[in-house]
Amino acid sequence: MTPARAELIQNLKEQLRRLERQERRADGAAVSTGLAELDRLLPEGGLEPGTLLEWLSAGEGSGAATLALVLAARVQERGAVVIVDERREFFPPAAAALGIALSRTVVVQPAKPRDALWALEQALRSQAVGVAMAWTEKLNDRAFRRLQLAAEAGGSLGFLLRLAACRATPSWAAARFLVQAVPLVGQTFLSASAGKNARPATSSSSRPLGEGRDPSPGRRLRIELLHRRGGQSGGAVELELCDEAGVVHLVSRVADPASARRAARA
Amino acid sequence: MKRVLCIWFPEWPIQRLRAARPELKKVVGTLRVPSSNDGTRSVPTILHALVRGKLVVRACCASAAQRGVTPGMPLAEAKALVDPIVDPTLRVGQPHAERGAYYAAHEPIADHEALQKLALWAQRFSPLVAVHEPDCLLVDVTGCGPLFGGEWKLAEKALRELRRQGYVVRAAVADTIGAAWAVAHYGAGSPLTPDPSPPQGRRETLSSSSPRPQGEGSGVRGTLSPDAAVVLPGQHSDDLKLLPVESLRLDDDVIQLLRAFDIRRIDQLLELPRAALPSRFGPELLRRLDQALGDVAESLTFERAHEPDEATWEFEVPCGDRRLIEAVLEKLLEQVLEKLRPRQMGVQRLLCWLHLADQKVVGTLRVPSPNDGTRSVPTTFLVGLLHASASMRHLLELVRLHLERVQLPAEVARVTVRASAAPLEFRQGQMFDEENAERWREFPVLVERLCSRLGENAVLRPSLRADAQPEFAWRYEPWLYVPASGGRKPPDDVTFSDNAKSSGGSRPPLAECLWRPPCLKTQPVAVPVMSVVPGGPPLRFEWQGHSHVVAHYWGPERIETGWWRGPDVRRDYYLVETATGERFWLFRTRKEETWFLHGAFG
Repeated sequence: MTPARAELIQNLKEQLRRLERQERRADGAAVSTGLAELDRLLPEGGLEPGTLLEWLSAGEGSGAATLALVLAARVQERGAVVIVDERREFFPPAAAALGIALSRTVVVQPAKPRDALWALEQALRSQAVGVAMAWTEKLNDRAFRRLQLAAEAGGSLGFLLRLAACRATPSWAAARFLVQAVPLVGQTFLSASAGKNARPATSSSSRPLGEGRDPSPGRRLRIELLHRRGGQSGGAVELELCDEAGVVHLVSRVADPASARRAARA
Repeated sequence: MKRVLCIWFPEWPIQRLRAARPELKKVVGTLRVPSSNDGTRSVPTILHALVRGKLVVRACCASAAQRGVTPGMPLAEAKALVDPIVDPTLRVGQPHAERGAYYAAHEPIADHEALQKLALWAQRFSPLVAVHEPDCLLVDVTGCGPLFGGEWKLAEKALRELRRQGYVVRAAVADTIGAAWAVAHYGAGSPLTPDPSPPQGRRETLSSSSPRPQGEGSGVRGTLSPDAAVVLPGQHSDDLKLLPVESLRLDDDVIQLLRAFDIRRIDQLLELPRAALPSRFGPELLRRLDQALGDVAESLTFERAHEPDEATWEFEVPCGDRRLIEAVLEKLLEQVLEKLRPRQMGVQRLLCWLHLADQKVVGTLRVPSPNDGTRSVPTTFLVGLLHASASMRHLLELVRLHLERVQLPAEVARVTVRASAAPLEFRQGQMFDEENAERWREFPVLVERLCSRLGENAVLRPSLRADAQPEFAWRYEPWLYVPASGGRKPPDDVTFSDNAKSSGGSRPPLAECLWRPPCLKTQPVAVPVMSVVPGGPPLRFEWQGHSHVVAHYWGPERIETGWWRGPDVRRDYYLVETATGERFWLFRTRKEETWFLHGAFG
């Protein structure tokens, strides 16, 4: 590819982006995730209102929902949090612990997948919603496009939590990320000895870990950008979710060489 | 010539209490005004109220009065005279019941509302009924007499029906409001008459069963039963002359002043030079006197019952076309909103009935069902709103969403729409943060829309509860609380300006945030787990066809709770991380030593 050609493509991409942006509501700039590395991966350099983000998770316990909730807590100032929970597995205490204000949270429990999509679309279309979140496995092109248009119309942020199996399907979202858990390495069983100081039974929860000396189960996630609207994909960031004084922080990790290599290849 | 019926409820606060609390009916004391149908045996009742920082007796019944309690007396003094009893029903019929008294707070607003309700009831006699504070109803019965067979019959009917409801009442019909009021209070047989000997011969007293007074038209005044009186047209000034000055609706201090001059009856008052009255007794006296005599007009504010905000459409031929039904609903909604608009009201709830026609089709002809031609089964749906709305577009959209869910097994014969209205909220624009406020205004619209299609119970607001057992650590409430019978209010309005952190309800007791999984299985799922030592941590478990090796674990966190909910819950929770870094929440029951997967840290 000649440099002139590359420049032309770059120019066209820029034009396309400007055209797309005009459709979007101009209110509200992108909200930072609190982590520059992650911001850099996101379109417009942050959580931009009126966009859809896909979070693909490699497995059921890989942390995509946790990350999505932490990010949702950052934009909830803009409006209500709507959680479309068709599987009825959403656990509000965990969300509250991650910083979601439950008094402004609407949990929608639709009976059918069709209703779930409809509810998500309505939530995205409403100006009062800051972020709408849903677990969606099956999503055809048409429905996906509708969601994206709804988000643009309402100016709310949409988080779609999906399985990694969806990565081959086309995406209308502004960006698609794969969230993978990074196993703890170099550490042995963190509290293998915790069993011995299990407290005698009480009428409530007793946590031997809460004594202050055990580390909290901070976890590391690797977030890989699979696709971003307007071109460049690739790039990954490794971050750590750790709680300090009851607030979850995103802390960047220096990516280990292996993942950096993988990221470069992607 | 105007005719006014005055219905007086003596000791209305006590009567109202008896009506509102039927269990006290036989108990709460007799009235100071004895009446033919008053209870005989009862506990004294004393109502108190706060007047200028002091609790004083506001009203009391006859038996309390016998013991020296008078209205206006400090409550402490009354309690010294008569002991309070907590539950009067326990003591009734017992010999010592008379020793105590039932004390209650005086509720002027409830009194007024009950009187308003009776005013609406009294519209059966005349469309114009007014409440006259504190204890009277004034009914404009001009021209209504003949409909009931004469004014005495009308008055009698009113008394009879009110007595059947358990009220003690006196009534009078006269030309002016003042005269009717005066005769009702101080007319024949009134115990309140200070002068116990009303002139004999001027008034016939007949029991209600005795023949009608003869020659009504000839100007003879008739008194029907001791509690009702009819002052014939044009005769009221003669009648008033003999009544005490108290019957003029004057303030107490004016009465006292008149007493000081030994002026006890109205005719004595009339003999005084008219011009001198205002300077001596204030302007009120002359006004009241003229009103009673009919020289000055007095107007009333009549109570008006609200028409139900309802609209109905009858199909000539039952119809099954949803588009048509939708169009009809739109038309009805328009009519309902038309009714609400002048009152500045909006729709809070909308009840729609679709009356289904009976399906009996013979050939192409519809024949009515054999037992009853008009029998129809209504299909109803209730459209609830978070905030009252008068927006046609919004309401119609909600109705459409509801209609989508409705099954129509048969064709629709009639459609009815009834709104329960609430005042519209007008919010003043804020100077700052305009845009945010504007956005939040959309919130109720979203909730209402979601509820309309998915049902109220699918749109939920979570709130945390202090319970160690994960399944009970939160509760869902419908965002749109539609009370079944009314009474309870919808959840508090959401104020979005507050800090997100503080409005999140109480944070869970854990300081650490990553201890609870965002996804909790609706039921703990039994999983095969390999563990080295009995009672030890998990090493490997099977989940969804895969074998997961536990690389790390945190725990056990022991949760024991809920014995009052049935079987004991005793679990040791482990947060486990598999070799691939995925995290799950497992627990082992302490009794059976079986493993369950309860959540995923997705």
